[in-house]
Amino acid sequence: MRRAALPLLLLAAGAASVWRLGPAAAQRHLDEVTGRAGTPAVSCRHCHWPAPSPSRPDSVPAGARYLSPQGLALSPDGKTLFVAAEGADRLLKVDLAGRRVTDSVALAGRPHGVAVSRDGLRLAVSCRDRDEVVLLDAATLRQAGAVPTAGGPLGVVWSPDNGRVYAADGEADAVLLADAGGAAPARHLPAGRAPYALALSRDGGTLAVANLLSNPASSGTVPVSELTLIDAAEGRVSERIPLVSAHLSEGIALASDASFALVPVLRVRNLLPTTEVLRGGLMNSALVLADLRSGRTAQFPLDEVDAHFADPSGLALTPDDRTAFVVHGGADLVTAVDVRALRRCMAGRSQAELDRAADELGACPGSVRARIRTAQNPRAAVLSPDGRRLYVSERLADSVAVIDVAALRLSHRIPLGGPAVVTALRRGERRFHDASGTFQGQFSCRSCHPDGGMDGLTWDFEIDGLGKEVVDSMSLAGIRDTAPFKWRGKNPTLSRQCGPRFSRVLMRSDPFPPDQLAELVAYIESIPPRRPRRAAETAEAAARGEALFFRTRTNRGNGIAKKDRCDTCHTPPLYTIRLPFDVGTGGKFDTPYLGGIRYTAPYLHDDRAASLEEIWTVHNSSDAHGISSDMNKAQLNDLVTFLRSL
Amino acid sequence: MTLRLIATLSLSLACACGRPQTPLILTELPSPPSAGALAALRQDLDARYPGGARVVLKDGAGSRTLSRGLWAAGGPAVSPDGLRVLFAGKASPDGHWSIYEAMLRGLPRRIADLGRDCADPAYIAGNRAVFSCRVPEGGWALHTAPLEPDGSKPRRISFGVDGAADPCPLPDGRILFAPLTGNGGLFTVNPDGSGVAAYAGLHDSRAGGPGADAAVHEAVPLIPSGPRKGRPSVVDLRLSTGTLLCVDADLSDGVSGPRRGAPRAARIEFLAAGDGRREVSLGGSAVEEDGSFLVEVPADRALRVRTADRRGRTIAVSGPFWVRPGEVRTCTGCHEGHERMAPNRPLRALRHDPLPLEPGTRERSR
Repeated sequence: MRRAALPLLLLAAGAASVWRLGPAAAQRHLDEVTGRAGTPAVSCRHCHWPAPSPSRPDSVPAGARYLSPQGLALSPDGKTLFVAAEGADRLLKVDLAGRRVTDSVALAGRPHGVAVSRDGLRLAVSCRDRDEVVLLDAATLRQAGAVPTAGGPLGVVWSPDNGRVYAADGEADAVLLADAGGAAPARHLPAGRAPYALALSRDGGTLAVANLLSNPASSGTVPVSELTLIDAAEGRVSERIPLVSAHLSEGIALASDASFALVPVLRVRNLLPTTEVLRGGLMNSALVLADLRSGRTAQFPLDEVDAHFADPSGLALTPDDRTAFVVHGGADLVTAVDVRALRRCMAGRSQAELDRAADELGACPGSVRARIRTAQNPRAAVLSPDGRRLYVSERLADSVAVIDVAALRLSHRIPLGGPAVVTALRRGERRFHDASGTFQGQFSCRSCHPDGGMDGLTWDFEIDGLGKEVVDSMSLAGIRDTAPFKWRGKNPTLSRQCGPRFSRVLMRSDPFPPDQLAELVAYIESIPPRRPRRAAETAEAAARGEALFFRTRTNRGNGIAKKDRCDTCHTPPLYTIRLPFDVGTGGKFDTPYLGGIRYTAPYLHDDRAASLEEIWTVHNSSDAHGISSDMNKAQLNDLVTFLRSL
Repeated sequence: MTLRLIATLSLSLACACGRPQTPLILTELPSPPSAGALAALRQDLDARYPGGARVVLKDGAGSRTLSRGLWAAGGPAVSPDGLRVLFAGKASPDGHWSIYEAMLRGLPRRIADLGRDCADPAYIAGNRAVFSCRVPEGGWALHTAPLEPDGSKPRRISFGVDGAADPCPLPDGRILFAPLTGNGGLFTVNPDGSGVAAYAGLHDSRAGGPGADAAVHEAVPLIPSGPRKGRPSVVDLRLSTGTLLCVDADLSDGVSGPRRGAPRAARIEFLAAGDGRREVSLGGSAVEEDGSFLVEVPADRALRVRTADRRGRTIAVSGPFWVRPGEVRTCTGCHEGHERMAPNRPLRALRHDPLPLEPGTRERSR
């Protein structure tokens, strides 16, 4: 008891002495901590007794977890559906005739994608949080092996001979080509940024890769993502097809003869002010048709003048190549697209005309055959081998929709289980993924924060004048304890951040009612930080970089003023002191937290640094962003390696 | 009343992608009378609702007058919850038409009295009503008012030269309306008066809809009744100007960039109604090399934009439209189709603050 009381007494005495000395002493203390005069005043609690993290508003019964189904795969006979239940760390086996789950297996690490070998004997399941593709026996669901990946595997496919597994390593910007038996060393080919979905041609020769994010580039430039084509036999990238002003590709399909590829994308206009929301043009759903023989590419909008269908996600193409189904996660809907109509629209136009058509909502009349309603947040789609049934995972409803392809309507729904109760947190998650709160349903929170992260783009918020508030969209992963929010640090809470002002500037519709806002904020606060990543091969460099991060002297041995040290502002454990400073980028900006920074390029408030290296090599010539001018290239590399490990 | 005799037809507007937009029910005049005659007809409320006209609820229990105590009433609009009714009413033969609301039981109460004739009410989000009223300069304009007294006065939200009538809320919060003349299609505006635009489907030549030779009235969306969404206001009444950003002044009628051999826009000039039928220049500004411009324009005036080439020759005249105080308005081009989205590229006009209009002296006849 005495031991416990002593530190409290000392703390109280210290606080009392600072308090007794008055605000001037508190300001001196703050300036001493930050090494800068005139640091904005904050309460003692800002550093010493931060507000406890808010508790979750409610929870599901003990032991129960929402399934949040993601990836789907069918057995070759079309009788069994395998479902990756990402939210519950399970793989489910569904008997389609009986319309029920007949078996399941625990599979740690957020199983995301699933593929069935062509002989139907084995499953490959990507587990994004354990960096593995797990191989299972399709009949028993027993683990039969595992293939390590470079990081965060998502989409996965088998080779036609059932001997190889390909996986999109979303966190490593690479595609894994691995021998399923481990006989040959695995290869990692550089894809675009955050590869997400894969499609393999029937002959196994061409592997097409859809990438989630546009390639890192400085602010003010047109974002470009890519459709990556890989020669699977030779194990090399054969082509990188640029997708201009398009990103968030989460699905892909190849024609039966591999003559064309289809990729759903979110087409963005981030270089224009957010006033574009009023014209329905800040972002649009589109379907990319890439003619792999002629090399021409078209982006055909899927939205209508007064109605938008946000967050295109999964994609499935009928075996006859005639109809594509695009799943819209933000609109709870599937669009059936007449592919032959798209090809006709493409045929008569030059590439320049096709590029212009990407900004024309009616670019291909008659191409949309139907809009089919689903339950909350549909994500992935797979067609039965005969092309008569479409299965869609309904992620936030814990179900699978079964669509009659001939009738183009919902046939029935298969509930997968999971808690019956819908908690406030789950409602917040649904709100986050639901575009109906924005004007004409143009976008959801997820449209800029996919998987709770960020889209790597800057946006021009009109509120402080056109062209003036061009800021990077920040990751929400681990954001809970990092108040204040916004790059200017103006919002003390997420409720303020997502409140009426947000609705006026961005949503252009009614603000969230208080109860919905509270649920949404609870969900955002529940988004976990990204995993620290310290690879064994870079451990030594990261350790050297860590020493540089916390150094107090330059290479010449001169002392570094407190204000010029990395850890003064980027204070562990969150690596932010949560105060705004001027680092030579045009004013004071809130100090960003560094957890998961390896995923959040470009950098600085307006994305002016395309890479971490550029922060110091290009944008810190006056050492305003910490003393770095004395570092040599090797030291900078070490520092970057350390930061990328956070 | 004459309008009621005109055949009403259901028109499903089809966008160019083949998908139906919000279907509308509207009144279309196959052989429209002259604009002046039709406008006069619409403004004559005493003819539309002569003395003794009542708003009546008829149900299984019989008939109940909702406009009790009024000399005449008409034009009912039911609230989303189905419990209240708005209508235009006149207390005495020599009075003016005001907006009233009645519960299904009880006496009607006046919710808006501008001292001028008002009619055609409808419920909008935010516990407010939108309706059309005479304005001092002549013609009619849309106004909004709170349903419950909150100390605020009715607000005018339209400023066009052709008047505005038949307001009808859309599901996304915008208000659909028609010019008083019935010609020129339908328009939408936000509840705060910002964002006025020709309604999609009626402005695109490819998109179908009534022909240019038809006059349209009384358009209502064919959707289930229910609460309408609201739109946060962008209006700042402390200001006297709004901002207009145009992405590409050379983009017009679906053509991206200048037509081959056609002159490029070098300057824009803003025109507004002056005395009588004269149209005066409010000044202009240079167009950036990439076709963009960003200017500060007077608020709450019907504006037209003249695009001119380097020699000052007129390329096109667009409008009329208006901006509200503090509104930041973005246009993709000049008179471009609704299906045309702006290209994603950096704009030169965003490198500077909105430019004030440089004085102009031209006067033109309309």
